[in-house]
Amino acid sequence: MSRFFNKLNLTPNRIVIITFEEIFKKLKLDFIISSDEKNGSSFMYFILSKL
Amino acid sequence: MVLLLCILSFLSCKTPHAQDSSVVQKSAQDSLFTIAFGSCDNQKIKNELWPDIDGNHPAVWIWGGDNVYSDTEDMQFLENNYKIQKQDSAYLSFIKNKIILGTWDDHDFGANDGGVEYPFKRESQQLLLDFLGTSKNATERNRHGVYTAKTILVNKNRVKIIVLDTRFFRTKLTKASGNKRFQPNKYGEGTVLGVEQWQWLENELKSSNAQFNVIVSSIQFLSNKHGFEAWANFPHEVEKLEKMIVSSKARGAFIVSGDRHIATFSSKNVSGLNYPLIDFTSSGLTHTYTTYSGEENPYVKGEVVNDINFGLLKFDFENNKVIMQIRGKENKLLQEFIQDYPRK
Repeated sequence: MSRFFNKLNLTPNRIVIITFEEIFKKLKLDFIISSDEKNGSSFMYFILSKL
Repeated sequence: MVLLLCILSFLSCKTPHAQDSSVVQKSAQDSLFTIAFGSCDNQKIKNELWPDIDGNHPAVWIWGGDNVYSDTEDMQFLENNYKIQKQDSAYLSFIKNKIILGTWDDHDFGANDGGVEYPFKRESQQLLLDFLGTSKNATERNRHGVYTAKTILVNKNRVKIIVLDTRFFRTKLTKASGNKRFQPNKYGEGTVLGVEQWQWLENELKSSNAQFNVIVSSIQFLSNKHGFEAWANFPHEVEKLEKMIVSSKARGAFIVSGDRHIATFSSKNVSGLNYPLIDFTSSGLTHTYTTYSGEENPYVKGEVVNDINFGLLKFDFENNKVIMQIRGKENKLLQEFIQDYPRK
């Protein structure tokens, strides 16, 4: 995979950001919030991306 | 394929990895996805509500207009007032890890009861977008008006927030002759949103695949007898939006508004809509209509609040309902309205 990134002269993070934008556009989304309940006693959410 | 794998692995993570990821802790008692909104925040008065709003763990904050008070044609003065607002440490703490959206009303637009005729609306638009943290290459920077729409995926559920601009294109109002400030235009005369924004709005509603569609209007949509600013001053535009909501088939659509220095729920049965249309007004954050003694509103539900307040929208995706709350100092629940929405 690193050879792939090197070939494009991009870091893995850069690849993720580019693809997020494309995927968000296709899904007609601006933000993704993911929640994770732990034993019903706590609730966390992550704003995964902001465009 | 490699790129797709990268995305899927990222999405499946339970801890954030990307630089722009954020984490917010929520309490077990209040695990519904929550949006908070409010309006009428005078930068000269300390907003004491930020910690109370934050205590409800909203993921999104929506500025409903009159975000500063700056009736002016001096853009430096307007910019300075936004700076005062942004220097409030409680506000800075509040906006961490939150999605911030908003629109303007007349006093941050730049002219009391102002509309299309205001000469510095383009300059003022950029200052509001700066205040909201809108990126320099965002669409909103390069079109007339601050209207925008954002769709949020919350696990498998979608909420779309459609923010209207009721200032940039709004035709000058008609002064009333009696003891009211304005009177409705003749049916068909004038506009609130203007041609471009109406077309955009129709597309946003029709294309929405969200379970709930929150329409943000700085001015009240349903309350129509008070004689101040309201959609009711353009009766044909009220009818147009109602019909558009019906024909678009956008699910769970309702309106949030501000401007009035009071907070209230209004509910109207609209022909063709299989649920009541709600207009949830929350105003103001720092000052209110303390001498309010009642006004005619054929659609009012519950008691009108004239203490400082903010609005909460709690989305119960499982039961397809929205818990709407007016809260005030020390997070006191002042009024609550629960609206169930049909599944289809």
